[in-house]
Amino acid sequence: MLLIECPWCGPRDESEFAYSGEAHIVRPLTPEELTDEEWADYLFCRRNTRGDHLEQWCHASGCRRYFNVQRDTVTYRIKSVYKPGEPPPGDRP
Amino acid sequence: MSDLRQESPLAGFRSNTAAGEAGSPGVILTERPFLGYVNLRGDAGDATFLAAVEGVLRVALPLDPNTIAEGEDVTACWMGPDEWLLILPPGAQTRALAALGEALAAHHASAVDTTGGYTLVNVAGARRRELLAKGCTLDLHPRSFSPGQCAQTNLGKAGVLLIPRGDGSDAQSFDVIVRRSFADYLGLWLQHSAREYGGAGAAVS
Repeated sequence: MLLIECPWCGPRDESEFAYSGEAHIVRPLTPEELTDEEWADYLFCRRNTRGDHLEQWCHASGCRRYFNVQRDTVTYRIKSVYKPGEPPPGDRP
Repeated sequence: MSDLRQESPLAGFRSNTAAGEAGSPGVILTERPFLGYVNLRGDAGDATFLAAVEGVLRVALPLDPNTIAEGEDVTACWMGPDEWLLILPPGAQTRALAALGEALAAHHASAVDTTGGYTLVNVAGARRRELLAKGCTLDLHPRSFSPGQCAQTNLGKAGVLLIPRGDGSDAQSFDVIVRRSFADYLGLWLQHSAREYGGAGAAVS
């Protein structure tokens, strides 16, 4: 079992959390001007990072808030957590 | 007019107390039904919002995560950075809602009556921690979870709000607040899990 640190509640058991995909995907401001290819890229295409990955988690059984996690996809080690709106740690992978 | 009667989600468990065993059970489960619940949301960074709420409840909202603030007849529980659960005596939610609605009219805030959506089971007795630890991943030791705090977590497969109750750092009992749709499941889970600590004496009543 992993302990995941919620930015509000502190370390809690992995079973309280839900994974919500890659973080920092910005919705296009003018979707109607996009080509099908660009829209599909926004909707479906995700990084398949080996190593540090910035992703969203939700403390589903706790405070029910979303936050961001920097996790190594090889070792599963969570290197940092930060609140929505805060800048990602270090250089964006 | 037909005869209306309030019935708690755990009403079916009451008859079980008749089979209570003699002696002191390790776990005592007591339902406190029909309490008033209000879900309150607003900007914790807005001093005027906090002051308006304090004016109504006569207690300041808890701003530290997973803590509670107790007023004369209200317990305010931190549920999120912009969300609180107010627990009030039975029936008191109506007046509180009206007062909050008036006080918060000019704010971007909401107060919603969730009475009837929850019920509360108090878990007391010498083995209260062992019982909860069977289905809960939190550290329930007094050094990390004591009166003044609260926590939303899972108990068995149900989402609950846990509130340690009592004086000092060692909680004499825990309030378990659960959605009414999970109450039947959680009531059975508690009774089943409590069997080894006190047999039929540990009935929700």
